[in-house]
Amino acid sequence: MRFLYMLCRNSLGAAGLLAGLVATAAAAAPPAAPATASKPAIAADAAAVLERMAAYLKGLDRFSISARETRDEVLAYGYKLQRQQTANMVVQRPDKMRVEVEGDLKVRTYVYDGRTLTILAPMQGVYAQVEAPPGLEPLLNGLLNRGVEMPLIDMLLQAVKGNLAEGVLGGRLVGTSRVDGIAVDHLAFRQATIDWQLWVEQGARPLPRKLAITTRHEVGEPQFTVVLEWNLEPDIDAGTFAFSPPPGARRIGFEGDAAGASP
Amino acid sequence: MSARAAHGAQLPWRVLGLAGAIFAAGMLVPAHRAEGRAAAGGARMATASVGAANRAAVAPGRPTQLPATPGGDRRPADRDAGWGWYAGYAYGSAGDDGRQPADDRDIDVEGVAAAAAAAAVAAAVAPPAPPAAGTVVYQLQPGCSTVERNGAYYRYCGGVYYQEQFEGDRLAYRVVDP
Repeated sequence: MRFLYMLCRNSLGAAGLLAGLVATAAAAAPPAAPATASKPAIAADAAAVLERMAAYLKGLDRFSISARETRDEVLAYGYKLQRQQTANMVVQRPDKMRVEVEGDLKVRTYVYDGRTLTILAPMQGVYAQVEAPPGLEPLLNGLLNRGVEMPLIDMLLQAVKGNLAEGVLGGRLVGTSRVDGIAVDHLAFRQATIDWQLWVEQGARPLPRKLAITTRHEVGEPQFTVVLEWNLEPDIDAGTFAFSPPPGARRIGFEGDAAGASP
Repeated sequence: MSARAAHGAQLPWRVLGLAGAIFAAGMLVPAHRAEGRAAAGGARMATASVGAANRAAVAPGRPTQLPATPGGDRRPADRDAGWGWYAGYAYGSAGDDGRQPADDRDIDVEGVAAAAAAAAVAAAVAPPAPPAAGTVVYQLQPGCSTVERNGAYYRYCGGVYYQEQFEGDRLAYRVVDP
């Protein structure tokens, strides 16, 4: 309902909003009205934007992203803190990746050289390594399965698999907006537990420039936002994807590993 | 200093005194409770990934080599663990890098500091027993050292040894008896 409300408000203005409310009220009146089941989940114009973006991202052999993130944390008594984080990601297909995260709650470096994934916590001076499957797609699956909350994982998933919208129940093109001065298409999606919005650059480079996720069914409906700057011709140093531990860093294990820390 | 300036200077000091009292009340909260809150830190964080939400929807009980991050969006049952939603405090979760220790900040939205102080005093009378081996915490109190035992390194705080480990990309500390 609220999704309809939002879409009506955005696409048709106040008159449309009223009409939409009347329409939804009317639709809600009969006990069974599964009219939406036959409609495509994502409107054609929104799907077209997504497809253009997916095709473009899949064609990128290497890129870097600089991201500014905010993430709400809901405290007792309804206070909502906004946590900030910056992330820089460098990707080189088919099997190289480096992500550096610096935030209020977390500082991490993730390095994947095609064989090994390393996670470094520089402030504690510890890192862990695990043998990783070859290729970015299995790596991402492994990260998601293990609950690694790596920033920009959505962008990488979209670039590698192109299935960001797999769980979407409904999607619409809201209209045109601007992110960092660049004209973008504004898309809105709803799925089971989250609503999300995506802003995709218009023109020859259909890159995602902003993502916002609203967590529904959570007290305070906290939001996550990320604004992305892309570099499609990054200077990649020779050592970017090779991990060398900082002086004094200790190698530790993952939960469940038998081995303790070693020097 | 003129009388007027001196008078003007009093107000900030009063405010500071109040802030100090609130701060002190926060510091008195015993470490194990701070850890309890930190353990569930991120419990009410916004979902940060569409892919992760999809994964959780597709396979909520998927067996994994490494369990999902506690308190994350994947384990709803754990959301309130240790957070004390109705307890008399209103803090953020501590960053696991200890950048913003939970007890350094007080957002005293509804005058809860007094309740926290009362609870702290009550707790101070009966200090908690040291955590049992196998207990996992997500933040250590300040002043821990790194020690070597039998070729392995541990964090050592107040007579307790902790083994550092990653849970996903989150740092955890497991109480061990090396």
